[in-house]
Amino acid sequence: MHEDPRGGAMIKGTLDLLILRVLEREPMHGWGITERIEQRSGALLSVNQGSLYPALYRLVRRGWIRAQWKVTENNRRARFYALTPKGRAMLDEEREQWERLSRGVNLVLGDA
Amino acid sequence: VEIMTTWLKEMWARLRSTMQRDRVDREMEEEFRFHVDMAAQRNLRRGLSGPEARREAVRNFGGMDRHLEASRDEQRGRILESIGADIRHAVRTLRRAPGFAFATIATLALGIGANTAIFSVVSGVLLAPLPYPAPDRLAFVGWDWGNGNWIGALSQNQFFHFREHSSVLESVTTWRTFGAELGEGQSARILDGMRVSDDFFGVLAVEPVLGRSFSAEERAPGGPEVAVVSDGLWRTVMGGDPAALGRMVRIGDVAYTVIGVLPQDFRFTPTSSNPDVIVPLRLQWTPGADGGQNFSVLARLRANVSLDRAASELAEVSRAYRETYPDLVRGREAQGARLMSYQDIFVGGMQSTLWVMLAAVAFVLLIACANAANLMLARATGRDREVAVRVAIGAGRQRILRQMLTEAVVLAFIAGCVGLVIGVVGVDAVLALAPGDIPRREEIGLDVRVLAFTSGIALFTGLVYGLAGALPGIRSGLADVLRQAGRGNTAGRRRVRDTLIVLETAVALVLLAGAGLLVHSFRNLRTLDPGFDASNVIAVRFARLPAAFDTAELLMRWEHTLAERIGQVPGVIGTAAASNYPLERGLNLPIAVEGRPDAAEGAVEWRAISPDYFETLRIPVLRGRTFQETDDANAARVAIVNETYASHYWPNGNAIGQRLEIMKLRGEWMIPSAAGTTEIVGVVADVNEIELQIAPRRTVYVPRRQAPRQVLGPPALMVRVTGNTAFVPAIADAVRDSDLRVLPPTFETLSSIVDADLADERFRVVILSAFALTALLLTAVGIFGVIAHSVTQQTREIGIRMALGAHARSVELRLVRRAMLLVAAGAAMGALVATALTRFIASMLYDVAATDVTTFAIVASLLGAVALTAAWLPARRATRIAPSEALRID
Repeated sequence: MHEDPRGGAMIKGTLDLLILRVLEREPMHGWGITERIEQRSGALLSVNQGSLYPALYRLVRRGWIRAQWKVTENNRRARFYALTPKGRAMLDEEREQWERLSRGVNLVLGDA
Repeated sequence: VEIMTTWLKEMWARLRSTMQRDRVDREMEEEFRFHVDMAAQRNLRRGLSGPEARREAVRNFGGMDRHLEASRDEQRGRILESIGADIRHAVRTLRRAPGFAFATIATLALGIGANTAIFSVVSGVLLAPLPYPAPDRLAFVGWDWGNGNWIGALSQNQFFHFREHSSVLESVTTWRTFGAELGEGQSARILDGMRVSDDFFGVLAVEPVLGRSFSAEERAPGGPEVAVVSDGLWRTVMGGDPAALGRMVRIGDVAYTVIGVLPQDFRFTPTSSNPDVIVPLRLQWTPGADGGQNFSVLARLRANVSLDRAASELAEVSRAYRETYPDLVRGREAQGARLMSYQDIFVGGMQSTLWVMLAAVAFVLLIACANAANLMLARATGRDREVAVRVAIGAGRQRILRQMLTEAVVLAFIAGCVGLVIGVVGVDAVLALAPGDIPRREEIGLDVRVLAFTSGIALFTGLVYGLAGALPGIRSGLADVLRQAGRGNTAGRRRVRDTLIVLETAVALVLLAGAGLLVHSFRNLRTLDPGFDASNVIAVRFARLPAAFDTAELLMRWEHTLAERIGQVPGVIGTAAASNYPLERGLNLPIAVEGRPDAAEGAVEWRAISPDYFETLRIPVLRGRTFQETDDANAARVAIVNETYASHYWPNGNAIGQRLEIMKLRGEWMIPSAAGTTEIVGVVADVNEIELQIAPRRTVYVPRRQAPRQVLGPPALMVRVTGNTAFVPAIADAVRDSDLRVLPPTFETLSSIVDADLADERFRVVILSAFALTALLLTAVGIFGVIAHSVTQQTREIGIRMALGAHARSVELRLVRRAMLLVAAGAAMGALVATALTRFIASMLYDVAATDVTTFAIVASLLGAVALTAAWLPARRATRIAPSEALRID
């Protein structure tokens, strides 16, 4: 799979929001998060591995998500990430912020 | 607090991730590998061939090492780097301010050092478990009389009963100590010996390093004479030869076969001894017959038996005991056997002293913290602009706070290292002052617990004073700082500094009040008249008598010769012998009054004395006569009682001529040869000879010549001399001349024996006074610092005032008044707190109330005077400011 020149770019800071959103449904490993984001965005967004894992570790350190080694359905060991209550609260906040931002951006774009 | 916990958490997380570096890396690699595998699988599903699917996945993932690096940064690296940077920055900054750093370190090191010293003692005496394997399974078995009375010992019958009937005790042991000479005559060496019953080594879970412990046969009555010797004895006497096992050693009158050598570090904590030799104690059980509650019993609980379960089972067994031996259980309330900790039995009174000291020394640290915070605040004023600039170029406020905290912790850490050294030296000083019988003295020292404690308080100290010093400056805004050219936070800081002065004054007053009360109490004790004259009396102490003195007659003959010889030494006024020295524990014996069933109440103080005793110690004879040389074994038995005894049974004063039954228990004479009544021939004044603070007990004196040999130990010899010339060599010669078989005695003064009775009190007074004075000094330094700082800050203002014609006096007065207002507020607060706290030392006070107004007034004036001086010195400097110079500043 080649990087899509349109989809690859992501606004800084939105990756955290996307990760939290994905984990809101169920605990997931890094690969699953990548796949889910690509699926849900209709392949518009692709996640750069070089920023995914640092982002995950950052979120763990902030206490928004927590990591746990589990076994997948294919019997492989994988690190699963799950949302913490604090993370859930932050998700709501981030989502609100994002909506405000995107409304603003849309308004500006529509204006022009 | 929240900032502190976040800070601590973050530091902890950094530290942990640093230590787990390898594991973290491994986990990340595994996670990445999983990711690539999954991507490869998806590529397979999309129709790529195996190798290609994998290659594609790897290429897509990018350089694993690069990700690792980036992720590592996120997890640990960047943060760790910044803590390193913080520390480096802190060290750099501090090196530019050596005076500040030195003052802070010195102040804190003093506080931390004092805490380390006291905590070492607390740790060794109170906190350290017994030095044997699985110490939590060790418990002492005592006897509970009910109503809160207990004794840490069992009678022989009880010992056997509980040994036989409790399944929760894996093994039990009891012991006797003895002294015995190795070798003979003047060259003999006295060994510390222990006779131990049953499975002594099993209870302690200690085995000889060489040879073995006692076999069942050797422990049984009639078994062979065997001994386990200390490492020291083995090395010095047997030349450290492993072949010494099986050799015979003559100790005292018995030849023992050496069967084992103890580990080098073996100690028996309950007797605080380092026994040279351990031999079997063979107890014979005569069911139903019983002696006194004289056996200390140490037990090892079975594995996995909790103390609670053991205690409840012992309660069951105790019930059975009470039913089996109703006549041996005195008192209806008796509960039976009771499990006790080492502390319960052996540490006792020392416990409260140590906790009080620990509290006091914590107060000292508090004052040290206040001073360090004050220093930091003073310095912060000068750094406002630096901080403002850093904020302006984008440093976060959190980051700056962290920087300042790191600085504080770095200083506290250095102070902790210095404090540790002070502490180690301090422990020796504390122990030199401590009473000789402080339990487990030999176990006191630097250990892991102490190290942990010291690092803990160093960190805590750093955070506490760091926050107090840093927060007030951080809060106010950047704009303020820049606008006011670096004086933006002065007002806020000044409030904090003033508060700190009030607080430390209060704490200092509390300490001074406590110390003052103890000093007052100690003075009362020192001036207490014990009822005898201890001055110019030499105590000649014999550890042990030659075995040859096995009859009362032989012993008395020697004592007579001895007294005669010593009497010939020029300058000796009188010589007396007694069964014990005053203020050292004497013997209690059952003594009843003939025909008075109400007077049969068991133990009464019993003293066997020589005829010159009362005269030598200058104890007044109130009625009747003293003993004569003619009151010997062949004469009618006579006794002298003290005033308390006489007035207790004969309030009308007709004690003389009454008859006593000495050592008659439940209708039977304990020593058949000593059967018969004794006539009271005299009454003497009371003597406080139990303890200075304990009222005299009923005491009966008998002539040594009439006492049975069984209850006569070595004489406690007292020699009254003129003045302070050196009599010891002459007396030592006289002792040797009296009988060559007698081992050389030790010499001390009777006054030192009296002083030893106050050892606990002296210990408390000296230590607490030292802390109180340290607190006073630190507080004075704090006040000095604050006023000196105000002067510097207000230089311009003062300069203007002086230029406008203000009197130097009034400027000075204004500064001093401000300081004294703070001190007065602090002292008032301290007095209130002291009133609430001093009741914790009420039980340590003699004849002075815990809220003694005079003492409080005295310490408050002392504090006031010192504070006044500390404030006035820097204030005076202000008035020397030349107006022209003041205006040039800034």
